[in-house]
Amino acid sequence: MSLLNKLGITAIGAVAAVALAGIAAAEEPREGGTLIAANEAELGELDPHITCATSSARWVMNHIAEPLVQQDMTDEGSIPPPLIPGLAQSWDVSEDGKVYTFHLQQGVKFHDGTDFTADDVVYNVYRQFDQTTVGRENAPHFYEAAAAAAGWRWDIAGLDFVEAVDDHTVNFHLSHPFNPFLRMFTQTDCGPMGIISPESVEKYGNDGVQANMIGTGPFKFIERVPGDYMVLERFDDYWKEEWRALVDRLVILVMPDVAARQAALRAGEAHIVIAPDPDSLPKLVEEGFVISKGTMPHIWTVSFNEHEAAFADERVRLAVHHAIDREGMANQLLDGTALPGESWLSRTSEAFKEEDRWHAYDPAKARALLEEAGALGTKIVFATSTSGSGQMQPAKMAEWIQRNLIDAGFDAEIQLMEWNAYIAKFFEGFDPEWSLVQMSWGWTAAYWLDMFLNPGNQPDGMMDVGVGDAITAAHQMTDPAAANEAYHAIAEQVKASGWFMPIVNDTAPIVLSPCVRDYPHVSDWQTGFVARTWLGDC
Amino acid sequence: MVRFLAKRTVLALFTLWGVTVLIFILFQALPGDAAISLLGSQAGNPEAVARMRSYLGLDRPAYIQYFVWLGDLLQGDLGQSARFDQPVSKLILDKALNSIILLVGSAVVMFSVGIPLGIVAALRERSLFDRIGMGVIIVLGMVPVFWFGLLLIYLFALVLDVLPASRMYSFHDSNRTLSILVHLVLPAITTAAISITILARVTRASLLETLEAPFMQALIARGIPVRRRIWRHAMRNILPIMVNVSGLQIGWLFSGAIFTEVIFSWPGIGRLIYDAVSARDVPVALGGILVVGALFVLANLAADVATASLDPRRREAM
Amino acid sequence: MASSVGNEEEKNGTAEPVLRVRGLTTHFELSSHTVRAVDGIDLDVARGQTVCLVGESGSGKSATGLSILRLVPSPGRIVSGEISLNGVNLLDLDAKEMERVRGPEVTMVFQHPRAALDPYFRIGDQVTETAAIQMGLSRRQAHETAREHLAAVHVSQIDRITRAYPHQLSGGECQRVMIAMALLCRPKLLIADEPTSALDAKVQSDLLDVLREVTEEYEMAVILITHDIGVVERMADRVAVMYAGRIVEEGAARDVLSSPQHPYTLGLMNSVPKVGQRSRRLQQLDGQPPDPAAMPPGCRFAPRCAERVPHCSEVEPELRPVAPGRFARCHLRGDAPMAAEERAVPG
Repeated sequence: MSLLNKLGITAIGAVAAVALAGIAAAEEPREGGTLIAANEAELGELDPHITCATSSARWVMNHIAEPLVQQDMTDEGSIPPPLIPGLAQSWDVSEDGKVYTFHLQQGVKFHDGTDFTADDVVYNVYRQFDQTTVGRENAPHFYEAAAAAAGWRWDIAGLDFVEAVDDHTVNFHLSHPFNPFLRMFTQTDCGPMGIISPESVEKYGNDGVQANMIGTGPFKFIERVPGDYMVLERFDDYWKEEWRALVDRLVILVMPDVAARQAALRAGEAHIVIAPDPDSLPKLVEEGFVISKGTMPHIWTVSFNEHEAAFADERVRLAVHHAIDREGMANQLLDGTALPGESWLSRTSEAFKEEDRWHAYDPAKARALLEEAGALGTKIVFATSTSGSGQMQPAKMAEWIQRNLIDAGFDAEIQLMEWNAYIAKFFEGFDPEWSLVQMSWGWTAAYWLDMFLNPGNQPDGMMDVGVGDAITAAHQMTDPAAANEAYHAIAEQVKASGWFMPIVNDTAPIVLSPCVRDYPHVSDWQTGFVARTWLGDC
Repeated sequence: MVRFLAKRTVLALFTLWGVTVLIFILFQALPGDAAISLLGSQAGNPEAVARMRSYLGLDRPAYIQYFVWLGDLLQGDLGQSARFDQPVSKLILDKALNSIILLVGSAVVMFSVGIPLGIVAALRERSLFDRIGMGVIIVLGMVPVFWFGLLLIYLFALVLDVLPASRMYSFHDSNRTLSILVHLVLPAITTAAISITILARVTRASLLETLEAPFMQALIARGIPVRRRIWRHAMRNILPIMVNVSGLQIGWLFSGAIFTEVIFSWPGIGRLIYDAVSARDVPVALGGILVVGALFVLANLAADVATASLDPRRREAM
Repeated sequence: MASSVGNEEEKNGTAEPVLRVRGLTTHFELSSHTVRAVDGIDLDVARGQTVCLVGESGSGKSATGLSILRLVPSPGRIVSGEISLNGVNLLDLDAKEMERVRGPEVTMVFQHPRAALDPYFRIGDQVTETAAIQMGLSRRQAHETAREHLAAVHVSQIDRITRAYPHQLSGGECQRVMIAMALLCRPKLLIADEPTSALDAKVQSDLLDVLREVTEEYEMAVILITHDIGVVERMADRVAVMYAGRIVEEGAARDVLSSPQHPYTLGLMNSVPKVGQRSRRLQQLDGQPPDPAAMPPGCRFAPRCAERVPHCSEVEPELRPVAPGRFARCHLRGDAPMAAEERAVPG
């Protein structure tokens, strides 16, 4: 209506008013109100240096604790979101790619009123990084749990030490060049790199951080009740005007039951529903709710067990690739809430190419390959979990695959396990009974490739396809374009090997109440950055 | 009486101790542990897992972990949840209070519906009310709690839009107490559903049986008016069994509440335990089960003592 | 049979009866068939008179007692007849009026005294409650009255009794309490259904004394239901013998006991153990009472009767006078059938 007033049109008919009001772009962002999101899982550990759960990190990262380098969390269109200054306003990389110098933002305050300085960056890193060069005595706040969760990042980046050059300059010294280093600051998996107030750590202790999280973000942490909710409030002294929060409060409800989440949305008790039931999306749209989808780093993968005798024959492996209808699964079974997997690279990776295609679905060819290998009726056991983080709808998807395999001439079985038991068994080494082993994962940063393909990270049963050195070499290239070509070549090699298969990429649908405006579904795990989201009429 | 209580208490403590041992063993047998669960996708990193295990104290032999836990327990310390960095006792207390709110609500629903329904059905035996009422009760008794809860949500929250669908209170409501009461209605009815059917049937049956007892005939023969026969004599006669059944039902309401807490996202102890088991948060799971077990035992004991002390014949025996 | 109080005339029921039952018929309607538990009974009981109803179990004597109080449990109901208590037909009263009749006008004492007391209330409370309701007394007055009446039935240790719960008392004590409660308002009619049969001999004897004493003192009409000939000998002024829902013989107690007329009564007497034997209960006669679903067409006793003639199995006999003041339902006794009205007031 404010637009109408500006235009001086006051005597306009009601029908036209409604029509004009319907043009969202014409609305002015409005401040105030409480935005409520229904989260799909327990928020778990909230300490940014410990949390490994995406469902927790998406609310902590950027909202409360910010990293040095950020992705543009309001840029919905770019894949991946472009890197922009975070707590570092700019950075230089040394010629040899081993020293990163960050020039920090000035005048930034933590939620507790203390100033953000270079020492705070060092303090944060040494809380997680078990440094050898500076000595433990310089980091009495070193935290074993944080090192366990976040230490891998510094290991993979080859960090030697961090130093504060002056109040607003920090140097990170690496033992080798590490191409994904800047993007690493933005990634949420295990130990997201948000900066917290050292004073608060000193005051509340290392294990008091999650109950007293003090960062620099647009929202400050107010309260968290395990199994129930977390309340954040707008931080009025936030340093970055463009990302100042519009709503007064952000409430995140813990609602593991999908029916309960959707009921809360329908009853007006929640504005945002994470992980809705894909089957109910058409109905929700009909009822006037808005579906927001994005491109995600997510890959719902299958690894071929190297100990499965039948897989020694390349033709049998290829038959599996041709047997599984990824497109059908994405569009029919999952109602378009997923995209077919086309590469071992994440779709959000800069190395991913739009024209990448996996082995085509071709059941006749699969059957022919099996016949040729004399392997018709080979028994395949497909292992997955009953549910779990990023697992989508594993049982239903496993059944789809089972049917595909049987259609192509395999004899297929499904083995389902409870999530935590499953990941434990997955990482301890594949059960000899398993033939195809499912897991979902993926990052925008290219070091994702290390996780399954670097022999040092592989559980027993996962095939070393001989790309470990190539990945390391690509990481150490100083020219990003060349590195991306190298990553792409590695992904092609993985495809050719036939030992791994991307099934689908989740689009992480989120349902919004019609009141919600400017919800950016950025292309990374941290969907849900809501500082610029506001509540309009509905 | 004191001897009876002492015996029952010792037995209860022994049972609860056995339960903790059993659960601890079950956790050992389950694949995965708190370190794996906390690390998620980094669970494949052996160094990270070893570090997290050592931080959590999971690198010690299982029996030592158990005795450390037991030793702490005897000093009144239920341990610490690594997932929330909070003392287990605080977590449990918060959630137990929420569960007790749900429990009290369910008990009120159970009593105020189950008993009157049973009484009216018995007093009008074979009437239309009796037939329809008992028919509904039988059907209700067969409907799974889960479906019943969803049905209530659909009907009252979505179609009629008169009651909230989930959670304990709304962040939109300014009056917290009122908000809790409004949010309590559907979960309380859901939790109480099965118990209502049991209480109504027991009330009806025991009242019918009492009304046919010889002393009721003798009361009629002495000209004691019908109201007095029913409300003074018959009610006093069925009181012990009602108290006993109610006590057992209150115990069962706990178990029903676990489903309700999930359906209605009620932040109670049932969900806390459920989450703790899936996250392998052993101290929280053990503490939660211990507290629920103790409440269950206490409810049963209280029901037994109340029943016995309401019955002059059993009062002497105790 | 000696009595110190009252006169012979009253004993023999020559005065206007307190209770006058005519054609009382009570059926139990089961799903498969109808049981005619009481099948057209006429009975008079005069002031101060004790009438014993005797017969085998299932003969309808208890159902008769319950019918008079309109206490027949479902699915039983009184089908027809008239129950006049001091000229008021109880069957015409509504439930509320009936409630006021029970207790002050007519009441009942049951076979199992402990079961007839509410197990959850102290004796004192139960007696006091009854007194307060029946007599419209305040709690204090009712309490005093209760103690007086307990004293009247000779219970020892009144304080202990009033504080006790039924399970803490002996059967005899319970029955005394029941009698005390029954007598609170001095009802015109007392129905006692096997009041002593569940008790041992000594207690039985004491209780019968108490019963005799109080009913004589208050000049109550009493229907005493029993199958104990000893009780009949001790208590009865008149006896009515029931068989299969009907009265088959009626008369003054001493006459019936000394010279039973109906073959069934005869059978009952013969089956009584001789003097000196402990138990004097009625023994089962040979054979079974008839199936209520299929009553024999003629005399209901005919199938078991040693004296039966063919006529007995065809026509059911009427209750006819066989001697002055004596009636029997048998083709082989007396001269001619007699109308019910003519023998209504036996003389």
